[in-house]
Amino acid sequence: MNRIIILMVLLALSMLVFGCTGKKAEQREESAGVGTGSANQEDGAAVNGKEQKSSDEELADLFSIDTNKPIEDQGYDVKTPSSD
Amino acid sequence: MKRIVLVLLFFAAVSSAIWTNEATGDMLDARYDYVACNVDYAEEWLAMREACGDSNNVTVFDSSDYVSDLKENLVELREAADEGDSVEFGLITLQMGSDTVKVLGELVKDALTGKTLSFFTCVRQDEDPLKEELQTCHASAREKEKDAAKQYLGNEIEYANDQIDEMKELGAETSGMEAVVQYGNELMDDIDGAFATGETTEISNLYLRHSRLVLLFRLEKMVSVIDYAEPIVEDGNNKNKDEILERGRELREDTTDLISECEYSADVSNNMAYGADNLSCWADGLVLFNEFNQIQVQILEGVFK
Repeated sequence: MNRIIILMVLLALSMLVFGCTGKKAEQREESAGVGTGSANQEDGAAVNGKEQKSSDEELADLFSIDTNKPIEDQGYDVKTPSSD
Repeated sequence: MKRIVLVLLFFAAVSSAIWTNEATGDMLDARYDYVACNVDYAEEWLAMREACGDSNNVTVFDSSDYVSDLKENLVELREAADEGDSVEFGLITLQMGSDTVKVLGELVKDALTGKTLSFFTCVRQDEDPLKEELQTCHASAREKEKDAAKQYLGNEIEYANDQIDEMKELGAETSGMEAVVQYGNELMDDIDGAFATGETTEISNLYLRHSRLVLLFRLEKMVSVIDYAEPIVEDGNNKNKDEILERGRELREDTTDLISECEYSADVSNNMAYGADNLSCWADGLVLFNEFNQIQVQILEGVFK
């Protein structure tokens, strides 16, 4: 059981890595949810052996929002000396 | 076993929600150039000041440790820019900013200690060419940043429109999301003008507006999803139906409240206040984002119960 848990966590972590570096087109498909058959999520989850998701799972796909903040104005606080 | 599947599904969903802007590296690269301009100038200026001290027989404070720290930080900043790590980049520039303030304080104290008029005259004269070089350096860095900023914002607008299209295909209401994108288009139109001023404040104001818009778009999307999902959950057979509906309704109310409290304004008359509001709005927004993502787990749990 512990080995299974470790393997599953490693799989989930690898999905996080590839999810972070994936192209926009692939991510658009992943986030589309309903009716598009998000392949990565299906590969990652053995959902009762079914190839198509249930409507609940498609709905669940929509409840996913990015929590990262956008780029900000870093660097302007590095001041320069002056005789003024 | 069911818990393992739920964990996997949650991670899969979270990973799919993490969109990366392909122009992030270009943005950080341009900002690195700007910081490097300041570091090079500081190093040369302090060396020039020491030379003026030598030629005018006055003692100046030893700034070698400061310069060494700045250059080390600059190397780390380059690494962060190369890795596209904007969080680390921001932390390093904060540290460099703090170090800069300390040295400026030392300079003020040093200037009041045993200095002569001829020393000050020497510094003022010799700093002029350095300032000209700095202005040229800044102009080049800003030109790069302007191009990167347009690409960055353009990528975000494209992604936002894709999300709107996806929600429209489902038959969801998207007017809130569309309004935010329209503000984003107006922000794009203001980029050239802000950079043309050469004023750091004007450019920073663009970032403040941008930050607010990103937050508001995500909040509007949450409302759109919750409104779309509610009747489906009501008519469905999910084992957690009642909890999902209650949680969704509460979250919708909290989200619309936050959208009102954090209403967008293109006018940044007080950038400190705008920035403080952004911090507060984002702090509250992140709590709601996490609550929203938790509903996904609840829906899936209700499938496997």
